[in-house]
Amino acid sequence: MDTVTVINALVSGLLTGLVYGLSALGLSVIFGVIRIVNFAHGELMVVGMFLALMLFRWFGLDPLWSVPICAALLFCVGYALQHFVVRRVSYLPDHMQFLLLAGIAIMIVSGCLVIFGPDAQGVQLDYALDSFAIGNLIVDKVRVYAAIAAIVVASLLLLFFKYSATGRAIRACADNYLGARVVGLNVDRLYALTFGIGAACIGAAGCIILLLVQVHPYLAPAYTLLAFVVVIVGGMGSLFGALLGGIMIGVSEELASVVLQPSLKTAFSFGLLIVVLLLRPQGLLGRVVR
Amino acid sequence: MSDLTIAGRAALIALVVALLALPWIASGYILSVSIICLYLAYMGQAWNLMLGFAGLLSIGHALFVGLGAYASGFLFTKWGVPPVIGVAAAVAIAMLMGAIIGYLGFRFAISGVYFALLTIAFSEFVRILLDHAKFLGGTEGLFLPVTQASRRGVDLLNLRGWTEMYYYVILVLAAGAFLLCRALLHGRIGYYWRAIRDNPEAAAAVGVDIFRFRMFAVLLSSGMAGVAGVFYAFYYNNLFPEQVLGIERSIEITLAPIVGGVGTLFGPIFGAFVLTPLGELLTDFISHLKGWGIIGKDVKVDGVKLMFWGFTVALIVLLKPTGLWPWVCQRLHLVKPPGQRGS
Amino acid sequence: MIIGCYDSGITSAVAQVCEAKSIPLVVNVAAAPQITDGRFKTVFRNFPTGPMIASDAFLLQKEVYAIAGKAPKSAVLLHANDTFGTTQKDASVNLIGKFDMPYKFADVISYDPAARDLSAEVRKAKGSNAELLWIITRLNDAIMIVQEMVKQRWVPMGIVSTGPGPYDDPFLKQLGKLSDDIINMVPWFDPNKPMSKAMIAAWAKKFPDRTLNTSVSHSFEATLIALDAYKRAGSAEPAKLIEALQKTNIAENVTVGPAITFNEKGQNVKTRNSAIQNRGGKLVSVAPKEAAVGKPIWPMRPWNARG
Repeated sequence: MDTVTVINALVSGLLTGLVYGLSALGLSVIFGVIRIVNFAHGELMVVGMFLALMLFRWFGLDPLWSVPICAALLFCVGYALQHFVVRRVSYLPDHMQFLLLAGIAIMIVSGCLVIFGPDAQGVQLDYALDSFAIGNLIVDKVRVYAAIAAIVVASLLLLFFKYSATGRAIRACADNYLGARVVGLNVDRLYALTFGIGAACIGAAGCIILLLVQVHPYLAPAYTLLAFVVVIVGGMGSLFGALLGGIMIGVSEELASVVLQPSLKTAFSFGLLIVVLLLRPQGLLGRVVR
Repeated sequence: MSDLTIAGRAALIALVVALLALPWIASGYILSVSIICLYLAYMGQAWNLMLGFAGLLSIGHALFVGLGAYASGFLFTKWGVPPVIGVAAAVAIAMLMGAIIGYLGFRFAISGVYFALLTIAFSEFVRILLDHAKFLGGTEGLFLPVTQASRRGVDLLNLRGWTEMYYYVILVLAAGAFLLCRALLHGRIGYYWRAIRDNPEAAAAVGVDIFRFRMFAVLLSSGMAGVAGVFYAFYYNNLFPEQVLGIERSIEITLAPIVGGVGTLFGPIFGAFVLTPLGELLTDFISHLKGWGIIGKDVKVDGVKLMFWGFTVALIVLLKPTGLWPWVCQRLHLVKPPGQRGS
Repeated sequence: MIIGCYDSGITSAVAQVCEAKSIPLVVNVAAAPQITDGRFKTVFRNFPTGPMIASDAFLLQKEVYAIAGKAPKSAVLLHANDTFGTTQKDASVNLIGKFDMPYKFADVISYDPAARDLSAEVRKAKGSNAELLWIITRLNDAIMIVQEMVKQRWVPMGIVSTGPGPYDDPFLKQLGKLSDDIINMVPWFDPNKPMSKAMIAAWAKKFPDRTLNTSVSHSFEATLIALDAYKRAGSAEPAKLIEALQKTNIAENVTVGPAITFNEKGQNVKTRNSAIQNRGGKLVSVAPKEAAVGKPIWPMRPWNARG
């Protein structure tokens, strides 16, 4: 294959990867702080996607403008989930937490099935088929917008965690649970906030992904797995890691398609996951927390 | 038996009699459902070994079933190797895979969630490889030869015969699994396993070889799943990677034991007996709801059924995390309290 | 008697059960060759096998290129990695040598039919610099492929499809002008036959806004076959029905080809495919000659040059 194809593939992978990274940010935030593995991740994202779809159908709202709305709505969902449900099982062993979230995930998927039906649905945007041409490089317009949106949201999140008081409080809980309680932080409320923020991230990512992909209820598990692969490769609990992991997976999927067969690209991602789990389970930028 | 109260013994005998007599009194439909029920009970026992006894959560167990199914199916289709011999290959390959995953898990000290993700990754990886494996049918599927004589008579060597035959085969497997686990659990290995599960550091301090006993659990678990794969292949006679190794299959395997009670002996069986009929009843109930106009006609049955399912599972986790079976045992006084056992 | 089942994998599984229970199965749509390779005695298929579809595709292409006066010098095959797609791909790749085509396959690309987006796949196909794009898809992936081609500004000489997707209503509706000029080389009905005309008229009355395509015409014929066998057998006993089906000979039908008959393996080997081109949301039969109602547009028009 020629250089032009490869370069086009790399650019496309980079852009898509940024969106993957945004989706994984939600997972990383939740796990990094609360130490809960959110198996309903993909399902929450599908809810965000359907919300954006509805907003588009009823108000003609471009998904990019729906991002704040979806983020806010999913924040509430996440907050409620942590506060009323997840909090009660934090003392239970891993497999019970997994099962609870899996049960919730199943409920969400079935709810979507009943309300929206099993068929794939998408938004029809005017600029959906446009592309920028820079010499031999042809870049999909929608992908560029999506990547920019992902960067904006991710930056807001990073700024929040770095500079705001609540952000620092949340990081304190993650670094030292006991110390945080000793100092008097309301850990329960902060955990609920964290889950809400993570869910908001997922919602935003869902809106953005709707630009690129059609939504249907069974899309969820694939995205849950994808987010896990990204977060593990990039590093659980590291925000930059999630973005970096996203880019790596995005690019490797593209390259695997070009060099091998496109039907093997998911296998390649899983292979990468296995290798990372074995050699460096904390991921590229993660901290070794056991 | 010594652990059971009189009520418990009566219940057990009633159960055994009912299971043995089922094919004579039940319709073809109930027979098929019972086969699925017993299959899940068997698989639940196998899976339970890894989590309940070795402390490893596996969400990719369908991988071992798939390997067993494809191995024995391929040998039968290509070279006419009967399943009674093919099962050896199936178990060997499944165990090999289990050994690889187990070894990697221990060597690199991966546990908990990370281990679960490792099992998912391996399962999906192999599934996609199988999709591309032409000699095993790939996405077109592997079809075991079926003739008009295949569903008649009783041919145990080739696993061909009446549906009733399949029922007894899986019944024997499920009962055998139960007895095997019981024997192991009550023996020395059982004590080592429980020590490792409850407090690995203390166990190591006392001199228990953690690696060896955990690996044993993993190998046994994967091997048993491999046998299930052979049954699957010869009962359904067609194998598609997505159907056999899909992640839905893996999750399905975990439902019965978790609902019944992880780490208990009878939990997986109880869980299977509760969930399978529940699923069928739900489908029935939903069609009735449609008939009475409570639900719209074009609402898909699948969606509503899944919703009840997820709800039930979440409810059980919130209210009865140790599983339903211990609770049922207590309420119905089926088991003697710890102080009175050992007669 | 059972009629079915559209999906090759499912049809094979159903055939197994029917064989075990000695119930006849009349296949309306399913292309996997192993269904009628002699292993089943109770299956009767009135739909071409994968190799038959591929062979016909080559012959139909030669006709189209001859009429248009332009033939591609290279081709790329882009197919879904499911039962149907893989069977078709194998047949096409294995049989191209027998037909003295003006092109060779520069690349054969498979993709996961459940893939969320196909930009990498289309990019790879574009990178092969082939003049002919041959696709074997389902519905949603067909839509995604065309959309990606527009985004990546790829205009090959033309697009040929030997599977479902491009002739389905949602494809035509969602893509509008962009769906034009794709040529489907698939089993189809012969619009010039008298029974076809009656079928078309009845369909237009009952389902005015749905297109009459392969699924309809072949299900229609399958039902015809089933009823004809039942009439001749005089009973609903499976054994008698199977006997009657073996002797089927229906001269008045709607698909391209002579009377419907089955060989000793239960396959109708005489049924032929047509080339149908998408034009303005309608499907126009352009080949073979006896079933044609229009001339093919070849090469295809660029994406932004459609009226």
